[in-house]
Amino acid sequence: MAIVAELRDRDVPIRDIAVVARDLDSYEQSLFRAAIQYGIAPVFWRQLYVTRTRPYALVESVCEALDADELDRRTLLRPLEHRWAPSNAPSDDWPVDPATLYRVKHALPQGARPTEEWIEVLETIDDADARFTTFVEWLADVPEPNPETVTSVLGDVVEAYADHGLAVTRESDSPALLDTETDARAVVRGRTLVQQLRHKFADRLQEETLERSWGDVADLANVIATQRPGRREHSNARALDILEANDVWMLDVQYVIAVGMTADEWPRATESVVPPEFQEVVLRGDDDTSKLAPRTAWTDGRDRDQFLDVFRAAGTGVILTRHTQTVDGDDVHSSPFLDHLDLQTVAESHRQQLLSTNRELPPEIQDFLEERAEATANE
Amino acid sequence: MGDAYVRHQELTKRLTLHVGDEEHLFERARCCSQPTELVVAPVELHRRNVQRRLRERNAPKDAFAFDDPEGVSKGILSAAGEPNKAIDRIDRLAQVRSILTELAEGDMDPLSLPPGVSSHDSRYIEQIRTEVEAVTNFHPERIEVWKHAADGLYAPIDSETGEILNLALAVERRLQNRTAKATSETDLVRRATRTIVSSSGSAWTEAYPEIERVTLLGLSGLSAPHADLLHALLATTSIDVHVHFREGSGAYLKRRMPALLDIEGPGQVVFE
Repeated sequence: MAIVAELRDRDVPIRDIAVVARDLDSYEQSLFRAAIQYGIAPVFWRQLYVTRTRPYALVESVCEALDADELDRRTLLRPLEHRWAPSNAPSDDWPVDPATLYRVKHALPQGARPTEEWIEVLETIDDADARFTTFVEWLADVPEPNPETVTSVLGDVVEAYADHGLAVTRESDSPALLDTETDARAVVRGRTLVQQLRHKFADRLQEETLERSWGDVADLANVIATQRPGRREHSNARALDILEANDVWMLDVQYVIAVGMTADEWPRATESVVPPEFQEVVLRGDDDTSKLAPRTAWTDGRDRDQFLDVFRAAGTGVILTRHTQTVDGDDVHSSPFLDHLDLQTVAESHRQQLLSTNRELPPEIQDFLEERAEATANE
Repeated sequence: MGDAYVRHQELTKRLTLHVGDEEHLFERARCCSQPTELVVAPVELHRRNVQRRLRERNAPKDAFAFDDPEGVSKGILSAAGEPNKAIDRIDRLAQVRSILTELAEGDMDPLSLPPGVSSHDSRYIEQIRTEVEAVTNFHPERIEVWKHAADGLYAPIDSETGEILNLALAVERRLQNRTAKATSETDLVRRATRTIVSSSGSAWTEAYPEIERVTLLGLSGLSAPHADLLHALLATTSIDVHVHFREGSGAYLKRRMPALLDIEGPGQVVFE
């Protein structure tokens, strides 16, 4: 990230830089922290974890509140914390602001009680304005779940979030609107989720593998939301693209920074259910076995493809980095893919300088910038 | 042998295999009223990357339609008036789980699992099914080849490899019996392949009347189901097919591709 920050300081547009990792699962956290530390807005090209988004949390909390025969104040108010709003509500009133919520929550008595009882309790609380009654009455009126009511009730909840909740995110967002983008994507995913719920809930009821309860609706929503659809998210023009190596194919970016060039990750062994001896036979493909389709996942073919794609994508320069130790202090070796390449190594002193407070771009990388400047001048 | 050779020659006449060189696609960008080239890439983001490159070059996208092999298969099936719905992974796993219970309870078709595999591990069983599917497309000739090759291994790997095959076939057969829908998106590809062959190519022409060329991109491998789909197109239509492999694995896959087309009746399965 220090390199990215330095490149930015030298007027390299953010769109001309990409950071590539083999697998974002293990790098997202640390790259995110590093980016923030250097004041860079990162955008990860990866699938959205729907279950970590607010619209999903809202749907889940509504199901939980509906599921309980008696609910405590936490469960009762959680949907409002996730910005519940009634459908067709005037936009200025909703969602309920956190400060009011906080006061009401602490004014409410402990202990679980049925929804109807909460309506009476709320009338005795000064801070609990009409919006609280609207919400709890809505809860009380929601019918038993069936495929149609699940779609209409939760569909309305998601749409009301799109109308009111999303606006709150936008107001408090950074100029690059990264959170808004995530939130908006989550709304889209929430809509799909509600549609899928309708069909799956119907199927499961028919199979009698689920009960007609809002708790089971929440469980099913979780099953659907945690499936990996293999769909990736898209990029944002004002943020740094951080992507997985397989996704860099065919891109054309001036500077590509690849992290984690270690022997464990390049290549990375893939689990297969087929015995290695049989894999070998199919890969060799003598005689009739050539009719069987070999899996490149059985070799390092895919790894090599992605490794070469990193180089192909870079218009001006590729910067490769790796860690030398694990968090447990074990030594980490460099990828064998690097062995036969003519690479220029950044001197340790230059690396230290880059990470110091007097940050400076290593001369080896400065050369890239000069080459780029010359190339542009010649165009 | 002679016949097979001629057949093969005919098939590969309009098939061009490349390693890399995807940029040639940009040269074919032009303004026109209908797309004439179908760009097929299995990864959605790869299709977006191609579109992004076209945008960066200010090149028109008009000549291209983009999709993945499963989407193309759905298009073919729906143009032919056939059902094009598949059960999704969530439902499939639920089905596999209940198939496993059924197999364990009844003594119908006793089924021994590979060592160390629990009969309740539906994800593992599903991985076996998809891996066998990718290698064989459940095609009778390839199934025979698998059995034969498994027999040639030493014990106990020979029986283990054979059991993996039997397990995958048993699960797929029961999945097919349980649902009228396709058992997976890959099953849609297989159904579309059969539809192209049985309609002598008219199912394709119905679905994609303007398309003259199919370009398959971004492949790090070529599964038997995808090879069979291309096979059906090459055997029954007059479109040109271009396959661009990637640079690391391309030379190997290019060498292996012709033999993948050397089967009779692409899309046929052992279950009938």
